[in-house]
Amino acid sequence: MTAPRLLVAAAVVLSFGALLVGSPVPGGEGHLDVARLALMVETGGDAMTPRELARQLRDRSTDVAVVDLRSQEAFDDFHLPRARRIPLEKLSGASFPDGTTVVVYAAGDEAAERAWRALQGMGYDRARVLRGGVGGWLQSVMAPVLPEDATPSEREAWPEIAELSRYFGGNPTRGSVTGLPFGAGDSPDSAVAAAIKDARRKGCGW
Amino acid sequence: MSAAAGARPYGSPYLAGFGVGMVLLLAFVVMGRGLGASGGYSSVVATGVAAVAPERAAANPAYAGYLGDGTVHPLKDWVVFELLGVTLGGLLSALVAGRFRVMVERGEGITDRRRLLNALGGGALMGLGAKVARGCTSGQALTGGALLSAGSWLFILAAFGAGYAAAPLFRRQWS
Amino acid sequence: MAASAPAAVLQVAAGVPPAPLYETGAFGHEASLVVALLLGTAFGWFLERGGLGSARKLVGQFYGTDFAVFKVLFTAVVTAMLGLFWLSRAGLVDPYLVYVPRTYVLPQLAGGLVFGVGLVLGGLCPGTSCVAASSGRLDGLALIAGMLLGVLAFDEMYPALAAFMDSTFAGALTLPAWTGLPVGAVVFGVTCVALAGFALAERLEAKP
Repeated sequence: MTAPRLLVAAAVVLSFGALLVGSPVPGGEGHLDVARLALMVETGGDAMTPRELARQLRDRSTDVAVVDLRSQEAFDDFHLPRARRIPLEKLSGASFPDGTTVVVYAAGDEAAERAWRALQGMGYDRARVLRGGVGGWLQSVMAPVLPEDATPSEREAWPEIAELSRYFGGNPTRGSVTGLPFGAGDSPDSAVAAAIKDARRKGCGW
Repeated sequence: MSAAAGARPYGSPYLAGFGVGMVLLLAFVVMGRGLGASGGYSSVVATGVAAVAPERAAANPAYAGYLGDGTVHPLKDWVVFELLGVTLGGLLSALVAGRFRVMVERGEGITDRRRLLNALGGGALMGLGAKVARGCTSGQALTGGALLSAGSWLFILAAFGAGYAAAPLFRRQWS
Repeated sequence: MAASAPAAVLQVAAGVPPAPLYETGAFGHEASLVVALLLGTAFGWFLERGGLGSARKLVGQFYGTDFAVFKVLFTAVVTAMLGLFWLSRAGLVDPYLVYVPRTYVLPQLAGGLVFGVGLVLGGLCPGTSCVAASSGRLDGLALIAGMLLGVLAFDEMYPALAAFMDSTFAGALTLPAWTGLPVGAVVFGVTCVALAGFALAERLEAKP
């Protein structure tokens, strides 16, 4: 058999196998609509900011479930209100009521994004990643800061933000220092901005 | 094929295609991205404009994506390095097979000068088209094609279609 | 985040694909440039071997005399497509970490048309021009210069084109998502079309 014929035979076998198998993921679980997911990620529909979550929790929204992906010690140290601890490996065994918005968080974004994809595959298309993880919650809900050079619209929004923070036992302050309390780690905005810049640079064909 | 004396004939396009496909697959597995080409040209142009007219470059968002925030030199870009490799790989293959020859490839119907001018014009059209389409045969047809991107397949159909439609106009250049 | 082979095996066993390596943190930006150089060299090597560094051979596609462009392109697409499908299926690669080009319907249609005309006038594409130039072909150099000018023209006109460029955005739309068919079915379909095309090409080339 010449080399090209060997290639043709391999192509026939592999493509027919692909037809039979259908899904490119192991176990073939779920029918992930990659385009829809990618579009959601692009437009931010896969994420929820900490303040959005805080408002839903404050308003006693019943169809929100909060999932903490971290270790038991980290969870015991500090966790978000109403959070359940479910590590990534156990996530496929979990179940949530129909129509629930499942918000997952971890220390950063990576584990949360994996969990988000897993939940999408399990059919929970209202799953959300908590933008910025624990650090984001700590920074924007527990210790929001109104900077000295705030714009008029920022000043207008401040009272509601401060009240939201106090509701959860937080400590809103004014000042020029946007320092991070509780040693929460990297600024969530720079991590997200870096990831978006990275994705744009990769789109090369152009 | 090649007009150089002692030149070996080209290899099977199927085997060459298989080789390209394996390189593309390696790119997916190692880098999580595909191959590209036109993006490298964009980096070079952006660098050039920034060197000659920095304020103009800074003011135009078309250059911003390639110039970045200043922490990494715009030419230290993945596609630029890939194109350097492509140039090197082409040189090596041509030398090994005795196909290296300084010449102008054209048909009998036109002169060297005319051919070079046509190449300049064709290149300009491709540069423009690739920017509008956000890719070229490497980034859209190859990479996007293998990843089953709908827009990339549209690009393939449009490019091939336009090529076949325009071919009769340039017949003299090639025969 | 596999730093070694045993770690990678454990990752695969835990259901976490170790690849794409760059995306799972196996190495950084500087090293990725070396990867780019190596991959590019192999790419250029195979393109030259297949004859795509020769403008006359390349345009044969559009005059029905030489179908090397179709053969190389579609063999490559099918190879990478099948390879990625099965490596993903085996749990070795996370396909959702591979960057899929975004679809912008009108710009890709318009850009494709303009690109196609340029391709038949110039005889080489952005990648193969580099191969031609390094094989000594002066027309390759002229094409590279032309492309730089075309890119410059676009960039300078960009503010006027920006609205068009951002129109008809459809996200990372893939053929399976668009048609509603399973990925494997589309893979099979694309392979069939390629193989049928090869058979047709062989027949057409055999005619004197």
